[in-house]
This record gives sequence, C-alpha cells and structure tokens, in this order.
Amino acid sequence: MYLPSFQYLAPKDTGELAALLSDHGDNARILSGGTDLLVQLKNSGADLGYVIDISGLEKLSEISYDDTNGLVIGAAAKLDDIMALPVVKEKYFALYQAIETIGARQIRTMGSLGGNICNASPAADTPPALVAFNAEVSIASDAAERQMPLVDFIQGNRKTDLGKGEYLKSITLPVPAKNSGSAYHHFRVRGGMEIAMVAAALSIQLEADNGTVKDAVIALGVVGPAPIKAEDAAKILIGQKPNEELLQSVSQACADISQPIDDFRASAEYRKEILRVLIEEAFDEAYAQVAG
Amino acid sequence: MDQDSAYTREQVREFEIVGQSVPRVEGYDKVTGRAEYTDDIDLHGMTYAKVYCSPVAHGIIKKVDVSKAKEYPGVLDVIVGEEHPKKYSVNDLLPTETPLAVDKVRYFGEGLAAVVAISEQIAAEALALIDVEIEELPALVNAHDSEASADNLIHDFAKNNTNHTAEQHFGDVDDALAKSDVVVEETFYTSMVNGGFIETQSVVADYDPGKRKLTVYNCNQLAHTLQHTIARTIDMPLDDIRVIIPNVGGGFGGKTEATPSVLIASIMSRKIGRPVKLTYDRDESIYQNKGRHACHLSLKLGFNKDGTIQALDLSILLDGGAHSGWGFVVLWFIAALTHLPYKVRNIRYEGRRVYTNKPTPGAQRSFGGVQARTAVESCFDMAAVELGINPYELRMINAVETGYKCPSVVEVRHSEFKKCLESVATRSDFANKWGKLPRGKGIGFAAGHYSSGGAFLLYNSSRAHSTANIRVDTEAGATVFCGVTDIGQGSTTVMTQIACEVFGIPMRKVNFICQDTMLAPMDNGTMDSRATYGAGHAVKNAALDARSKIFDVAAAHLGVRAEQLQCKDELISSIYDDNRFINFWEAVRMYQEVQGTVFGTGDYTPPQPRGDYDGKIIGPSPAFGFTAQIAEVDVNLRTGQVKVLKYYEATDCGKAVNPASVEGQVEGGVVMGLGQALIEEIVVDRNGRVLNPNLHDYKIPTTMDVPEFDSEIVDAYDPTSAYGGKEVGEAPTGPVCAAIMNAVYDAVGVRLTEVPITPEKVFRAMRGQHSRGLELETTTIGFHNAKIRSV
Repeated sequence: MYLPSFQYLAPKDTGELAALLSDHGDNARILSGGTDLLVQLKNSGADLGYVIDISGLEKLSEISYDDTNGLVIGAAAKLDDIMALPVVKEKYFALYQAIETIGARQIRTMGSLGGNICNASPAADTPPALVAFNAEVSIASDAAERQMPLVDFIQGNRKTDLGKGEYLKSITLPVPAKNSGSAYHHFRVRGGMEIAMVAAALSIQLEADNGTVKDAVIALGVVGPAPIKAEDAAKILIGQKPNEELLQSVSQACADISQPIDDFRASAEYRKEILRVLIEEAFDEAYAQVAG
Repeated sequence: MDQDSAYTREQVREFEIVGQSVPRVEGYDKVTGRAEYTDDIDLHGMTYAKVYCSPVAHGIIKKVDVSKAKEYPGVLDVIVGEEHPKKYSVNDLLPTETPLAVDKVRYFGEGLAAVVAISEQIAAEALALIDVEIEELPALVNAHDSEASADNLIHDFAKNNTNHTAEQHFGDVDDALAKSDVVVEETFYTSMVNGGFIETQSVVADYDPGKRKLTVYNCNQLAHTLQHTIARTIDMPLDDIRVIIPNVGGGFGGKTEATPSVLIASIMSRKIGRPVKLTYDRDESIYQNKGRHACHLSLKLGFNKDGTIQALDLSILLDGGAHSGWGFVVLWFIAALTHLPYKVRNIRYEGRRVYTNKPTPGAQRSFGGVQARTAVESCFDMAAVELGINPYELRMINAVETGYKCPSVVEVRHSEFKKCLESVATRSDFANKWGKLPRGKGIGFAAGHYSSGGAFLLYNSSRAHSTANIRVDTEAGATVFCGVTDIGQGSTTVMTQIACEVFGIPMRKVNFICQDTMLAPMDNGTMDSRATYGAGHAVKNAALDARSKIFDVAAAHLGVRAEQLQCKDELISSIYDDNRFINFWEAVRMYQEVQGTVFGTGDYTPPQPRGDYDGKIIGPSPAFGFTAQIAEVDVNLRTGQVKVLKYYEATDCGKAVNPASVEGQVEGGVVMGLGQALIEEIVVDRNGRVLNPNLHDYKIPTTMDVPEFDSEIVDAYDPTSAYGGKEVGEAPTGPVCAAIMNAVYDAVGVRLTEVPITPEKVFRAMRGQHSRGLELETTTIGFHNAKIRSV
C-alpha cells in the first residue's frame, strides 16, 4: 500500500491547469481533496506520470448564489464549505442532506464536490441530490468550455464524460421554483464513515393554492452504475394531489427501473424494497417543506 | 500478613486512592501522540519484512520460487516455509501452525514466503517477483460441511476435520427435562467477528549476533507466553530471548497469540544480524484473525412452573478456522460459562470444534461468553413468555448468590448478581415496558458473568500466576516490576493505585515497570480478565512486604509497634497518636543507610479446586464479575433496521478500583457486543476468500452508532480480592446479542436466532420469510419462530 511514483504539479491558475492537462492529460490524475484519489493510487500499484493538484486554485473553489444564475459551485469547493452556506440549507436542502451524510467531518473538510462527482462512484451521495436539482456541469479545457446536465456527465461506474485535456470547472444548480421542496434519503447500516446502500433524492414544486404537484424530479442513487433520473415515475406525480396509493405507484415505478446489485451486504430484492421506502419518505419530507 | 491499619480500613472499605477515578498513567502520552507503539520503533540498522500471502485458501504448494526476489536490489534475504517447518501453538497441546506454510496452504492469506529488505516498499516490490504454484483443493468454509468431509482433510491427522471434542454431564438431564413443566428449545448461530483493534499486529525482532541474544518488541498481551513460543519454535534458550511489549493499541484477546510475523521477524533477524520490522496491513491482520469463533448452538432449557430452572442441555459446533490456537479453551469455556449465572443442577454439554479453511479465531473478549449467553439468555426470554413470568423475575428466581457451588468444581465465592438484575430492571422501568410498548418499540433483558482469571495455569509450570517485585528508595521512589500487560484497559494505572494505597504515597511517586520479560517477573499475562484480580494481589503483597521493612524502621524510630502504624499522604504515624509521625521517605532513607535498597516481593495463585472430570481445568475462577443489561430498540417496520435507543447496564465488579476505567470497560464492551449484534461479520466466499478484509467493508461501530448509556457499578466488595475488585473487562460483551434479540422480539414478535441482525434479516423475518441462503456465505441459518413445548 504505497503511493506509486509520479510527478506532482500544482498549477497557479486555470490557464496553467488547462495547459498541463493538454500536455499530460492521458497520463495524469487531478487531485482535489484526495479523499478518494490517494486511496485509489495506493491500491492501484501502477505508476502514474502526473498528479495535478487543483486544491490551491481559488477560482475553482468559489461558491456563489444569486437569484438569476442560481448556485454555482467551483469543482474544488470543499464539501464542508458548501454545507456551511445558509442558502444551501435553505434552497437546496437535499444537497445539504447528501453532503451531511458523507464520511465524517474530516472527510468533508478535505473532500470537494467536484471530486465526489468525478470519482463517479455508484454509491456517491451528492450526485443524486444534484440530479434532483437539474444540476448542470461546466467542463473546460484550454480550447473550449461546454455545459451539460450532470445526469449525462456521469456515465457509469467510475466513468464520466470528461475528455482528454478537460477538467470539471463548476456545477450550477438553477434557482428553485417558488413553492418547492427537496429531500435526500439514504439507507446505510452504520451511523458514520459509511456509504449508502440505497439512496433517493427528489425535488418537487407545488401549485401555490391547492397542494397539487406542479413539477417533480426524482433521482435514484446506488441502484445502478450511475444516478438514475426517474422521469416516468416523476410524471405520475404531476398534476396530482399526493396520497398513499399515488406514492406507492411512484415508488413502484422507481423500483421497476432500478438495477441494484445483489451481494453479501444485501439482496437486490431487498434494495428495491428499501428504495421504495426512501422515495416515499423523501417525498413526504419535501412535501411538508412546502405544504407545512 | 495483613494485620495492620490498612486492614482496618479495608473492614470499612475506605481508601485513599483505590476507588478514585485517577487519570490514566499513560493517558497524556496516548492523547498527545507521544506514546510509542511497536511500529514507531526505529532501531539502528533497521530492516523491513513483508509476507507473500496465499491467494487461495486450501491447496498443495507445488512451487515457491524466490530466486528473482532474492536478487532484487535492496533485498537482504527471502525465506520460505520449508526452511522452518517446526510447528507451534499457543500451548504445547496441539501445535498446528508453522511461521510460513509448509507443503500446504490452509487459509486465504497464509504466508508462503517472506522478504526482508532495506525498506518496506522494496520488500513489497520484491514480493511481486516470487513465483508461486498451488494446486487448489476444495475449500471447506462451513463447519458442518467440514465435519462431513471425510476425504478432504485440512490437517492429515485430524479425522473428519475434528480439532477437539468436549463432553460434560452433571446430574441427569434427560430425567430433569422429562419432569420439567416447560421446556424451551432453539438453535442459534453466532458469527465470526474480528477484534478490530486499531493497531494492527507489529513486531520488531532484534538479534544481537555478538551476544547471541534476541530482543522482540511486539504488541502482545502475554509477554511470557510469547517468549516461550518464540524459544520453542525457533530453538533458542528461553533466557536468550527478551520480549518487550510497547504500548498496545487494543488487544481484546486477539493479541494473546504469536502471529506468524513474530516468528518470521525473529528468524530473519537472527539470519541477517539486523533488526527486522514487520507490520501487518489491515487485510493481513484480518487473515490472521484470532477473533471470535463462529458457533452453532442447540439449547434446551427445562423449567418448573414456579420458574426454577431444572436442566440445561447444550450442544455446539465451533468453526475453528485453519488452526488450533485457543480453540480447545474456548470449547471448554462454553461448557463452564453456559450454566452460570443460574442455579442449574442438571447440565449436559457436547461440543465439537472443527477445522475450516478460514482465518483462525481465538480468544476474543468474552470468549465463550458471547456464544453461551446468546443462546441461554434468548431461551430465558422464550421461557419467560411461556411461563408467564417477567424475564427479570425469572432471572431473579434462578440467580446465583455468594457461596454458590456448581455441580462442577466451579464455585462463586462472591456475587452481587441480584443487585445488578434489580438495578437495570428498576432504572429502565422494565416491568411497565416489557410487552407493553407499541409495535416497533421493544425492550430486551439479558445477563451474564465472566471469570477473573482461571484457577489453573494452562501452560508453562505450576508456578505463581502473578509475581511482583518492588524496589523503594529515595533515588527513584517506589518502582513496581510486574509482568502484566496494559492493552488499553488500564492495568498500569490500577496497579499503581494499589501500590499507592499500600504505601500511602501519591501516584507520581510510583513507577510501574511491566511488559518486559527481562525486568518483570513471570506473569500469566493479560487475558481472561485476570489483571486486577491476579496481578493486583501480587502487587499488593509485594508492597506490603516492602512496607513492613519501612514500618519496622519507623517503628523503632517512633517507639510504636509496627502493626500500629499507618501511612497517609507520605506520613507514617501511629494509629493512636498523630503526634508520633515520620515522613515516609525519611524512613526509607534510614532503611537505606543501614540495609540498602528496600525490596519487596509478592505473588498470587488462585485456590486450586479439587475434583476430577474432563475439562475441569477450564472454568474455575477465584472470582466472577456479573452484568445485567437491558436494551431499548426501535425496529423500523418497513426496512427492518434496528436502532438501539438506550442501553442500561449494571456491573458487579466488586470494588471499582478506578470507576472511570470500569465505565470505559463496560461501555466499550457493550459497544463491541453491539457491533457483533448488528453489523459485524467476517464474510468468506465459497473459495475461502475473505470478502471484507478492511475496515470499510468490515464494519465496526462508530461513535454515531453508540446509544445513550445508563450504567451503574453496584455496591460490592469481594473480600477475596486485593482491594475488593474483580472482573469487568469481558462480562459486559457477553449478553449484548441476546439483549438485542430479546428487544427485537418484544418490538415485532419475531425471534432472530442469528447475528448479526441485519436489517434484511429482520425484514424477512417480519414477513415470515427465511433468510436467503447465500451461496457465497457460510453462515445462514435464518430465523425461527420460537419452538416451545409445553408439557
């Protein structure tokens, strides 16, 4: 369990970062908080050309919010710093809940949101919550910058859409609509330093007058290689006043499209049952935020 | 010997330092990181070893070619198993292990070769150059399969893969069961768990070629036993080997054996004439396991209508893993621990321990106790339902009291067990909650006990179990030499308190030298909860011996009879006349002027009960600690997840020499039990590969998993003990699984009979489904609806 040998590079600005990636992108890993990367490097046993440290780049650590652009989080922003912003708890509660469950305080102090996304672990906590807010990611290189929905960016287990020479620059969460609420619920067997066995995030918007669901986004976590946006399940809710039967059909629709693994920790069948519980509980919590 | 003022104070149990929660002697060092552990040691010329771990669990070794590794730059030497084929074990009864595998591999991760190099990284790199060929044999990963496998033998000499068998029968069990009004019967399974000590096993072996002597630094619990194991296995005279135990980062019984690494490092250091360090990674530590034995139990209890227990009939099958280890002791210990703490006269026990191709378990905290209590305390709960007697009352009816003699030679010389039962029942308002909480909420009762060290030595000799020597002088204060090991439980602090109490001097005037076979006299070591009771006696006796010499000088000086002297706050004075006093150190100085250094010595050996039957030497103890526990749980009716909301505990540890340490032992012990009850299990696939050899997948509780505690040390004083204290390190772990099982039954009406109680097991049980039989798993028995026969 030793770090392989590599050259450590610490660019001074994003321009230098882009140039380094352009030169070494094939043979480099980006270091942000290191909570996943260092463990992986120790386990890999394979030598690596370069490790490019972005944790010192202030521009990539910025977090801003305004009523036009929404919440823009630099890829290297620390999880703990994001959680500490009052607007996150107030308007993006599901993200707050997702960050709160990650590891322990030490991990959240070091770990970054961009790292949690780019690591692309099927068990990552923040991606389902981000998907529930229709988050977009900005991807940059020395040549260009492009945007895409986060749900498309994470393509599978440890797989993202990052191309050669590209890096994740920021994550944007649109301003939530009025009368909306959100929640992230997860299931795990230990109280701390634990990853989720199943997770669900959703955001909902209600009609102002009568509690009918106007819009809903549902995201499923840890039940597939990447977060799943459960669009058909969400549609069941739209235009409806929630009741137990309706919620059961929503959670059933989610379970139907989920693809959980079956291993010594739990059976796939059980994970689907848990997913249904999480969807229903998350909905209840989000609904209560708006309807009181 | 003890007829003095201290004795007078003991009559009223008033002490100066005993009974105080003084801070740990080594606490500052541990909290600030100053404390040195084995892996921190850096000797001149240090070299580093790594072990090639077998990628298969069972197979014939065809080739281990280390020639390329030997040539790798920086490598000093490479050894293979056949160079050192001598077998060892924790005792001489059944040595089965070799430092590195010879001819055959018996468990996943077993060492095949070891490399020593100028750096650990080079040693690790050289491992990749070793060429190994193994002809794989079918792995036996289930104790039942292993027993039935007549022609696939893990050890050639062990027919049907049987390691040990044990039988005991007292009274007439068949007759008593037939006459019982109610008989409850159930089968149980307790899982294999690991101690999860934060410090993995580490060793530094330093052979001095000039003196031809070996010094071994190792985080072991039993310095003298380890010394013997090394001497026998690598053929060196005992007194040429010095074992030093640095700070130990948790032991829990798992560090009572020599790991192969100790022998490998010793062999290599002797070969190259330089110090060799070998520290296990977490996965290697888990392959060496020495955790708790997985156990299949089948138990019948018979009761009369009035609740009095009539008979106990238990048969068990222990999954022994690849080697012998402490296995036979665990096997007999279950026999001895099952019937206490209840007054049952008809007892039958049949136990078998079989080899499997799994990491070898050993003597983990409350060994034998967790298995026995899980079955017995669950069946008590079942019987309570059937008899219509509250589980608290049922235990009170049958609880042992001071002076109880078992049908075996086991004798309970002191017990405040009933106080423990009463304490938790009252504090939790058990009578008003049991069977009366809303669905999903439950309360469960369980109780237990543990011995304060065995009455008999299992190895070595018939010499004293503990010896302490003390030197008192004005140059160094009072210096105690004692062989007991502080593995984090606080024995150094407790022994220092005992010495201070005898002398009447403050903590900082006492030095405690232990964990070094050259400096400290022979001791049975830290296991079986014997330190405070056993070594405590020896330290007290040694201090009394030294003090009598100092008092003699003071007596002559003051013109007061020595037995009328007392010492408090470093002043020796007449118990009748405060004006007749002399400073303690002045008296020491006067002694030194004439006779030199003050020396004292003391030892302790428990009473040896007479009797003759199989397994007699395991079980009898000079003292037993007791515990009663109540768990309150919330069971999620949709997911099956069990959350422990509150935990009540009451301990009879006699006089708590250091109450803060007792509290730490109780709560730590319960949390360890909660880990086994809810989340911990070493999982092995059908090929014997360990699936969770790391602390990410092998889950131990975090602080976030600890419930609210309400624990109490009941008022007790064991007059047979040095200062009234006895066992507390192990009893609290024993009943936890059963307390949770009973609480889950109270909450949702299903009786889980297998730990860990995962959410999915509860979920399935609530739906009347059996646990899925995972092929890769070795353990699934499932839940049973309680089988109760009313006669």
